[in-house]
Amino acid sequence: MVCHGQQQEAMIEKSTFVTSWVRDQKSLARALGLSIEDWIRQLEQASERRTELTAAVIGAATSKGLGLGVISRVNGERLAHTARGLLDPEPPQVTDPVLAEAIRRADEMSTKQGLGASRLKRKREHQTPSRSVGPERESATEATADAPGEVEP
Amino acid sequence: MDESLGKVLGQWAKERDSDIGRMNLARAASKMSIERKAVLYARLAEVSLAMLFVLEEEATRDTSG
Repeated sequence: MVCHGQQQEAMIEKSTFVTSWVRDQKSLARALGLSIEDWIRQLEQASERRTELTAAVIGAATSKGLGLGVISRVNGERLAHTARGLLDPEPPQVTDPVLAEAIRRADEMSTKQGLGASRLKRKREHQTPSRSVGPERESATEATADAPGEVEP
Repeated sequence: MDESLGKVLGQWAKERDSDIGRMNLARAASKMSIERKAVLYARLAEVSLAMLFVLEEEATRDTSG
């Protein structure tokens, strides 16, 4: 059973479908306004609700044309473990949950894992917005509530 | 699970891979009470794990021929 689980885990890592699962899960968490950690916690709690999880598996398996025999192989604990490994392969080494989420998001923007922390630390010069210079409009010299203007009323 | 929650989940299931689907889901969730939102998140998490399980099964089936 353990061997089967490890074998499946190794195979699923290679699956391109998993990439889209991870992407969809992250997008879902973001859309719901949850951090990745919060969402992983939801998945872990779901893995403990055997009846509900089995019902969901029946639905998903049926829609994919899999037989109901697969139900016997549902292992919530292992699924939750796999989900955490896929969604958060390199957990940020910080205790502050806000900072951890910021690092995860920065990691997503970087091409390599682990660059998130350095991206956040990096100082970047900000460009000061400049007023556009162009031909003056007709109303440019008119009086307003804030400026007296140059044109006599 | 009440009918309206089922409707929200059903609608999301139809377009769960799209941003529009997620936006509609988020909009519906934002109108829910904390208790109903908790139920919605629970169902979404169960479905998500179920999908992962199915992907695993398919990957196993494809590899074993």
